[in-house]
Amino acid sequence: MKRWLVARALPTTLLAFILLGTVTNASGEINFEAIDSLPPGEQYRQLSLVSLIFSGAESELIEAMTPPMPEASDSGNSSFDPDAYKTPLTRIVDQESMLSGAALLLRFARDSQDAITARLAAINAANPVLISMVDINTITEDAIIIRSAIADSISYSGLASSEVLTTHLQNYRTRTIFLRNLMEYEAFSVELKRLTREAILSVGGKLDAYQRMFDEEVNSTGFSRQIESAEFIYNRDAEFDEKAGKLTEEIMRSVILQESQVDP
Amino acid sequence: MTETSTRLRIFIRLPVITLLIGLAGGISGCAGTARGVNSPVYSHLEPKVVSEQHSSDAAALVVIRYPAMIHEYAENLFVSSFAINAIGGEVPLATAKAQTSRVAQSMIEKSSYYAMTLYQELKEVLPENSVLLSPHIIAWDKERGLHSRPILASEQIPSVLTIDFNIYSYPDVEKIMDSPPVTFGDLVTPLIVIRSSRWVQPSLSGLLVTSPPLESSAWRQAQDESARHFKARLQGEIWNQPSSLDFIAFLAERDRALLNLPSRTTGSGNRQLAAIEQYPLEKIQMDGPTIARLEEDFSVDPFELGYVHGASIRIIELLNSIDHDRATFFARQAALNRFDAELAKVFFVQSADESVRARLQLAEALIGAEKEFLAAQSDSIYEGTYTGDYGLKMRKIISAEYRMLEERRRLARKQNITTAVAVIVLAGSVYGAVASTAASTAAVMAVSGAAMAGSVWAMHKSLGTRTESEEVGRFFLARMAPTFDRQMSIQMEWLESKELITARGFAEFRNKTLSLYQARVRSMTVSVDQRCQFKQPGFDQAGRWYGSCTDGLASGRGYGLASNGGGDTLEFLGHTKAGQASGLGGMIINRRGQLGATYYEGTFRKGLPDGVVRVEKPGATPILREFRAGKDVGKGNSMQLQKLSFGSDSSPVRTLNP
Repeated sequence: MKRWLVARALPTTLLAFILLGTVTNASGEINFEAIDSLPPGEQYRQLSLVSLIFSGAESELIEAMTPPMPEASDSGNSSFDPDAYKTPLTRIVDQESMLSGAALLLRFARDSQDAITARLAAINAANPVLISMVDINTITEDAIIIRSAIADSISYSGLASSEVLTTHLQNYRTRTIFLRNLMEYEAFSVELKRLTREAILSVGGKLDAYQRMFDEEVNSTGFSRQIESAEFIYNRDAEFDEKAGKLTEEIMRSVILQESQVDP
Repeated sequence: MTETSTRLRIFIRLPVITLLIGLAGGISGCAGTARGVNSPVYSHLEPKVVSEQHSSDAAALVVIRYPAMIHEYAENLFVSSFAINAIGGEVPLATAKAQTSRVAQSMIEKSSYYAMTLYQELKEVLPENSVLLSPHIIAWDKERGLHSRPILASEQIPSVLTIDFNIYSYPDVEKIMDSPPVTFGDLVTPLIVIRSSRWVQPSLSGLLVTSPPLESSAWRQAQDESARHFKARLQGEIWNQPSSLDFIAFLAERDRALLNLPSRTTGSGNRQLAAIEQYPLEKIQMDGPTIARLEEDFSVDPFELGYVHGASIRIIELLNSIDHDRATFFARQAALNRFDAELAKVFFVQSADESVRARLQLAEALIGAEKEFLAAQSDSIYEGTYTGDYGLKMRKIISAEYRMLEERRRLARKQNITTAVAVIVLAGSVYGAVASTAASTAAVMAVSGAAMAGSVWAMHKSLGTRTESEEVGRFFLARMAPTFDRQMSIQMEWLESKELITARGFAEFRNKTLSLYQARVRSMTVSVDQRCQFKQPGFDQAGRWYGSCTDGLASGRGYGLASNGGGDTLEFLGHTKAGQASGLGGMIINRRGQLGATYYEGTFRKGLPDGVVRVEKPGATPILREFRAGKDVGKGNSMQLQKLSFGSDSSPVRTLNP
């Protein structure tokens, strides 16, 4: 878990600030038009990411993060376009910008929950194959890092000073851990299913092999001979006593032979 | 291939022997009608839909236990116990005949076969992997005496219901066609015991349904197990020994008193009554024409039509009426304890903490995987026993038995006593020849051919002197006896091998999954202090508390046990404060010498019921009462009753989709 976190930390942090920076650098408003031009897969990814970042964020916490949203004067310029922000590193050290950007993002997610859900569903319905190929784990990994960055920023800024906000922040962090655990569970579950399937096949194979031995045994000459013996004895004829006696003797010899074998 | 060192005395040659016993019995009881009921009690039940209920992935819904094999050390005791504890009459040991052992053996074989019908029926209506088979081997040792143990690990999986199933035949073949219960041809006499967790019906230790002959012994076994569980828990341990099949527990008893237990009949009005439902001893007569065609066409199962369909409806009714989380709560905790003792301790706290939820989710997935593995093994047993060669031969035998029985019925109608007597002699000579065969599996397999050849020879001689028996002779399948004999011995060997292969495979699987679990599991932020005190008024001896703790005293949710010098015991699951039950909870109090327990569920204060509490006592309908500091002050208001939840607050979320 830690390895992938480290490996993904930089690009994901960049992604986080691109997203958040998008907000702060624009007019202070986010709308769906900003992502309309993106391919459906990317739209789905970004909206999913926004949803996951928002998950578990209480309104009080969001409102405490930044002053009320300014009047939108040029909403048409709002964009999700990462290309608009070539120097995201400049924002990493800017906690205020980050918090205000996060607040706008979370507010947007909160106010547009139904619309986001509907958009996700529509994209999914229109592009089922494409969406099935979206790696939800990657999105979740990104969301976990962004959420942690937001929570840390709130914590460093001292915004969560009241008991209520501290609780909300803790709940937000817990939700992040929940997402991480869920992702780990999914990975665990896949591996467990593989082991289970293997074990079932392995034991089944051994039992099948035994079954074949069983069939061969049942169909062996000796077995047929046994059946014939029984039938012969029952279907008596004039030479019955003599033949039956010989047969019994033959079987008894066989028994003695088998019983005298030393167990390996 | 097989571990002959274990020298399992596997019952073989049963089909033909069963056939012959039935033949003898059928003839000996000339006045008998050999009829059964064709409208069993469960056949009147209306089909039910399985209700959707949240159940842990770690739990099965039904485990079917049945006798499948016997160890050679147990054989003599099993047979004599079978004769001494005959159901439907008295069979003094001195008069028990060699044939009795064959009837006993045939009972095991047919139980294995008919259990498959029940399995298949339940599997069709219940969710995937929720029905498991648990075949048992009957064994003996000096500590436990006659007992049985499971040969698969199915009973380690928590289950809502456990069904003990076997068929029964009266041991004295000479009276077999009078009125005693019998399983032969189109006649079948099932014995069942259905139980759940004792927290489902605490006053009666979770015993839900029994066949009357098994009721007292099943009760005693349930009580013994409860006492063992209590003792182990009191010492901080868990009693893990699986219980014997109730039929074997019944046979293991000698001269034990029949108890007057609170019971009700199937279909009686008040199902709320805390009583054990009695499934009557029924000699069911299955559909003759279907059995007659069974050899060629087994797409229609006569046992399914005659019994299993109705019985499965009753089982579904029970499943629908039971809180599954309640039924599996303690078994889930015990299952967790096998590989994560730390989590098992915290389990009783039912913490909503994310670290606990996540770990529990992983652990229950692990048990769920074991359940899936064992479900696959159950399927394999079904395939081998029912659709495989064993099933084929069993159906041939059942068909043949039926034809003989029909012939017997025809003879009875014609009063053809001469023919009947001739066949008794015939069958008797066979038993004499085969009853003394060898001891070990290998020897039995080897000798069987010779022994049976001798038997058939002897039989032939009888036939030769009784020409009037020719009419019956055409039904005489003994000419195929060695075939059946061999098939059966190999089949039993197959089962033994299956046990070994599956056990090894399962052990390997467990190691792998446990390794995966340990690699992925994270630490928990919740822990429990085992040195915590739990004390209840009137229970002054040292108790034990599994759960939240403050300043060395039980405080918060958990599970506690206490006892007193008089031998009374108390179990409590719920909330505590300052070391005593306080808040919502459930309490089982078992008074020494008292039949059954008293169960309180509702609110408590300072260890005593306080507020609206549901009270369950044996033989009574549970009632709501209002308590003040432990004193009953009148009728309780149902609107004020708080029900104890056994459900986890951490239902796993299955998707990462936003």
